Amino acid sequence: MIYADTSFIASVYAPDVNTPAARDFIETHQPRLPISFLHWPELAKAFWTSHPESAENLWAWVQEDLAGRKKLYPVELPADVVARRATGLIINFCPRWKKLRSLDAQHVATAVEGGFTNFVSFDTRSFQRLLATTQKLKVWPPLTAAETLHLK
Amino acid sequence: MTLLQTRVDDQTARKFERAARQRGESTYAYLQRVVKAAAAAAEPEDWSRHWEKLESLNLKPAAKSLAELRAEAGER
Repeated sequence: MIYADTSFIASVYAPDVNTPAARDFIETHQPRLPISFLHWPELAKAFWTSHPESAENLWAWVQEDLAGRKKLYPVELPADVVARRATGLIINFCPRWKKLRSLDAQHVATAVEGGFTNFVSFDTRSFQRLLATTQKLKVWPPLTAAETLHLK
Repeated sequence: MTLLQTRVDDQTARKFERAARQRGESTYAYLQRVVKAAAAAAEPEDWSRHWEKLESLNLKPAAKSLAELRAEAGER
């Protein structure tokens, strides 16, 4: 089961530098991607910042695909459960990675609580993918050399 | 026992019959209408035509990825 961070889903619906890699992944794995309450504000930000003239169409496209359930589907986890797990992750990992964002912890917490095995994200600038690794999630694309250094 | 009851559980059949009555239709007329509407509905899209559709939008690739936008905003 694959959990995709918003950075991946944004690249799938609105072209950016990562879209070719996202396409390869989709064509190889044909995943059904979960959408949680965490994705909506970030997708809105991505669409309305990068493609403001087409944002409404992109938004409607995501909604349509979510309703169809073949490409996207809603993952319905209680927000409290996700928040509690994320809090635990922050307490455990923030002393080590001071720039770990709470939103990243929430994405990883959602993946863990939802029973996902794979974590797909293009955000190599944060500690999100590292955190996912510590939770035994298989991260794609593989960790960069710079990210791996932080695991030591 | 109606034909409908032979295909679905009793409670579902009774609810369906009630819904048909509420619309002033016979059970069979309502069933036919529902089935026709379902058959006519567009099939949800899978990934097969996704990239073709994305290309048809003629969007210029964004200058910044979401990860870059996150970093710039200094989101915590």
